[in-house]
Amino acid sequence: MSEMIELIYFAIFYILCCFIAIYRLIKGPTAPDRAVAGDGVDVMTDMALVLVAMYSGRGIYLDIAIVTAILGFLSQVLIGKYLEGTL
Amino acid sequence: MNIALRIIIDVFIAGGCFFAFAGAVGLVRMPDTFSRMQSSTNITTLGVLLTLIGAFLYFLIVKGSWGSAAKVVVIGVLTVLANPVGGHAIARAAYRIGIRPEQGLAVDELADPDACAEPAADGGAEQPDGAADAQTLEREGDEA
Repeated sequence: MSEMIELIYFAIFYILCCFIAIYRLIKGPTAPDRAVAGDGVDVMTDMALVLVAMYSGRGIYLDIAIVTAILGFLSQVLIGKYLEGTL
Repeated sequence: MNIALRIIIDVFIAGGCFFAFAGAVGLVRMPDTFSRMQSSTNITTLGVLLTLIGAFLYFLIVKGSWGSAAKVVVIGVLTVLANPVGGHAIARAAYRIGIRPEQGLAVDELADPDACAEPAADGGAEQPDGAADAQTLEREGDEA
């Protein structure tokens, strides 16, 4: 455990921002809206994982954040190609 | 721990939190699809980069862990390189399936059906060449 207790509050703040984006993910009228909101949730989850890794002192969360970043990029490009019809 | 270093790291991470919050609120409040797309880049540029600078300083100076600092740099490089590509793909897909901005476009280069077209898998090589020749002829005709 780190002595910087405020890091976990920043991580909780990122998760609350994720819920704001999840509102658009549920309500969004078109498919690109949902894709963009999903990418925002993905990136903010990355940042929460980095902050949790800083707080807990465990490097495994950083590996999970790297994998999540790669998967977010792949899903965004695949959804774009699928909507365009050129997949 | 040095209190000045702790304050510097907290300022970086709080700035990242501010930009992530601004991007999330813009994602909900903006009027149309392309505005929301523009607002979400707030999260993936300044929000991510300020937070990762804070994390890099923390791992490098406080923890003295070069491996974790390198992982943080890898996350930052991946996010900065990948998100413009994905955003471009989704914006072009949104245009192709018929979504338009509310106030009309000043410049509409995608209205040309050959613009940024994917190369066709079979036999589509002749038609873009013909289009390019036609454009060249038109340009020469304009100059003449």
